[in-house]
Amino acid sequence: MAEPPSDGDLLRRARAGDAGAFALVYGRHRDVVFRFAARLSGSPQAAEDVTHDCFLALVTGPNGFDPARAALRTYLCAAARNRVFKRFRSDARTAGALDDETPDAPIDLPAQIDRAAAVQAAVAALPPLQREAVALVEYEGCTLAEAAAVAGADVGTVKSRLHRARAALRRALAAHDDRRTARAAAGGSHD
Amino acid sequence: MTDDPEDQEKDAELSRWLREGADPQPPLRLDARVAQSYRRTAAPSWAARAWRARLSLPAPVAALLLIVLVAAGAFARDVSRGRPHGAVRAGLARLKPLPEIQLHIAGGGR
Repeated sequence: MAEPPSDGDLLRRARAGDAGAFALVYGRHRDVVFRFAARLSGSPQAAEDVTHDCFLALVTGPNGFDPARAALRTYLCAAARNRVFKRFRSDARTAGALDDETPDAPIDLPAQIDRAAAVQAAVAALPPLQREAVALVEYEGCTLAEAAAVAGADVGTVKSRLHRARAALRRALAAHDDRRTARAAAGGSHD
Repeated sequence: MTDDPEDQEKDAELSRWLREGADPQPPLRLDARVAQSYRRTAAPSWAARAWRARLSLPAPVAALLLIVLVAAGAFARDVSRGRPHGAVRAGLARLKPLPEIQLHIAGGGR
């Protein structure tokens, strides 16, 4: 059975105008780029724009992808990250959050929402750099080295962000559980 | 992230919670949007495609084509210069030249 064409091969053909090769490479990486951009930006609309722009830049912009240096998935996630963070920087409300030194604010989750919604809300409330580490390692299954390559940081920095993120998530979800238990008990005592 | 077994257990539990939620799904319109943008900006026009088109031929066929082209070129050149073609030259071989013509100029009044 023939080996499937490599990403580098498909990309060369796509850059030369082969729409079939472009469709293949897009199909391979669309979901991961969209998921990562959606979790990082917190907006499906922004994730759609970012995914569109990343793939277009891949074939129309200067060829910055070097298969010897990184996998295409890593390259695309880094491109998506740059675009999402550019949006954050252009918005005064989020510009200051792109800093590891910013103290972590406690995450407050309403007791009315269930566990699944609470997890989503807690991740969305993390500072962007911590959210990035969670999205890459927890959701996309990246190694710390891959996540570091995407983030343009060293492995120790990503590890530290992930550690802080996990601690914040555990605290927020434990507090949410306590609130729900207290709410249920209060509701039960009224019966 | 830590060597403490209790922390590792907590991390594993947190990972399970995180993966319980649904993944964000790209909207269907994204595929059409990306494909359309690719066609508009990355896929070359018919003229560019024609310019970059490549033709692969077996060497003997290519050599034969080359010979035919060279012969056709030589024939066209001969025709354009008014020279008789080889076949025409062969047809004229049996003709004999006319005897040399001698001109006599008679002086006026003699």
